[in-house]
Amino acid sequence: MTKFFCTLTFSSEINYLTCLHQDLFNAGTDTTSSTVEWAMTELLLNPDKMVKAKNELQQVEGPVQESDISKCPYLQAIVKETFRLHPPAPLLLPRKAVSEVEMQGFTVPKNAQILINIWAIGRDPAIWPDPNSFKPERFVECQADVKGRDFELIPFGAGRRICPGLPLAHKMVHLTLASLIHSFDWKIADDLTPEDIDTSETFGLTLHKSEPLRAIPMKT
Amino acid sequence: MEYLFYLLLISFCWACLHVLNASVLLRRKSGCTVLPPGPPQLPIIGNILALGDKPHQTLAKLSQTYGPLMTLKLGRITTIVISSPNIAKEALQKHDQALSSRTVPDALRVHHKNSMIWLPASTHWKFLRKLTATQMFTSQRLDASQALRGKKVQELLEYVHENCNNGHAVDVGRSVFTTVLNLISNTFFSLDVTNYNSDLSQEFSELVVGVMEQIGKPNIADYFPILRLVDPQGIRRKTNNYLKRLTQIFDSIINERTRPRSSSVASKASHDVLDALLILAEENNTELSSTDIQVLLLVSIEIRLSN
Repeated sequence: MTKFFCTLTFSSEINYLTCLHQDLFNAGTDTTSSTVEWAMTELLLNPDKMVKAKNELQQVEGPVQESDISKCPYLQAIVKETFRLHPPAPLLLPRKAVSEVEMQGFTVPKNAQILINIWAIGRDPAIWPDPNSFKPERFVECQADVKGRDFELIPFGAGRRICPGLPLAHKMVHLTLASLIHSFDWKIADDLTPEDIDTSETFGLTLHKSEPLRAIPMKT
Repeated sequence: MEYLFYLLLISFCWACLHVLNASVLLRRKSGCTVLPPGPPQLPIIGNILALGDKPHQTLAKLSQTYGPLMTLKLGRITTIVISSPNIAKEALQKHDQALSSRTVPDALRVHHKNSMIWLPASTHWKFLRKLTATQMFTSQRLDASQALRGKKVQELLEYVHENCNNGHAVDVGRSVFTTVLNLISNTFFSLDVTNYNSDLSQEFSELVVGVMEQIGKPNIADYFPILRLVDPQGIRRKTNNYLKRLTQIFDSIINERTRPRSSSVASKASHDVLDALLILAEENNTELSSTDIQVLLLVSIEIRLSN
């Protein structure tokens, strides 16, 4: 074991740490911020949900702490509903078959690329009634989580390739969103109405809001 | 004469048997390599044109016709698309190991060799997974960094507050991007990479988004490996440029951090990942546990890089 690591250490081509940094920066920054942006967009489009979220957060005094999040089931439901409608990686990351696999009576050949369309699963009317509406309420009753156990909602993937940064991303999304909602009232900038907000998506490995959300913070 | 007749008869029968046998075999063989259904394919290019610029949406539509397990041929790449929780579960749970590798976009051909995200499920990959699981994302580590996250979010709120006082709009995505960027850079290096009004934050965000978009773009070189030599859409070249610039920024950060250390080697409480690594490196003549060696491995690489 030691020998293995030492061999690696002195191998001149390897720059693991730089790569690891880059992986974390790339995978962590963009996905987290895009999720918070979509959540805020949906809350501005659905002012009644924003009110509900603010009311729930009123029990928190002073700045929101991570320990407060567990007391906010509606906030958690908002995050899940955002992941359902706007998964940061709509097709997850492509997997590849290392050997031939039988599935549902069909053959998945060796070396085939496997895409899992979680965007489609999130908007399947057979699973989610009224799938295109932003309704965090559906998750208040349903106990599904995003940790790779409930396959109708797997924004971080599942199995051995599940996103390793999940625990950090999960904390960061909740804390940031809760803090923004708790500390300010928000209105859409540039005199736009909710109907004017552009909710189109730009496809990439991660799915972005085509037009950045601009919102004006106001004192609560 | 009779002899000749029988000889002909036997060879005829033998030939018939052979043909029959072959066709049965063929059927049996094709029976076990039936691919999931999918839209009709054009010669050579297959279904590439069907993808469009929003593949998640077009694939969702196609799955309504061809079902939750379908096949597309993207040039030479057989692609299986799963669109139901049950089959996703079957793939990621039951067949997790058999489907454990990654197809690497040509855009990342240079980068992926050391990337945990893109490596096949090899020994290197397992090592990196273990490292992140035991050194970065354990509940103790995350509990220890709770105050840091609180502080970074507080800085975000201060920035929003400024805008609030001035009645200015906030670009929500970009602001949160800066927050997360500084959080991660503080976890590693104990410093902010950027601030909310800085151009660097903008540049970072553009670089990362740029990489994501390039990788996500349908790339003809992914579908026809022979075209990788040419990189016809320039996707690999663009991605490499983005990644190169990111690496430059990271390297300058690490350089900045390692310089003051070498002048004052005085022992300092371990605050961040880089500290932990650097301290280990300085003490590398002591006996090391296997976890330490893992960490040390990264240190030595890092130090070599920063020199």
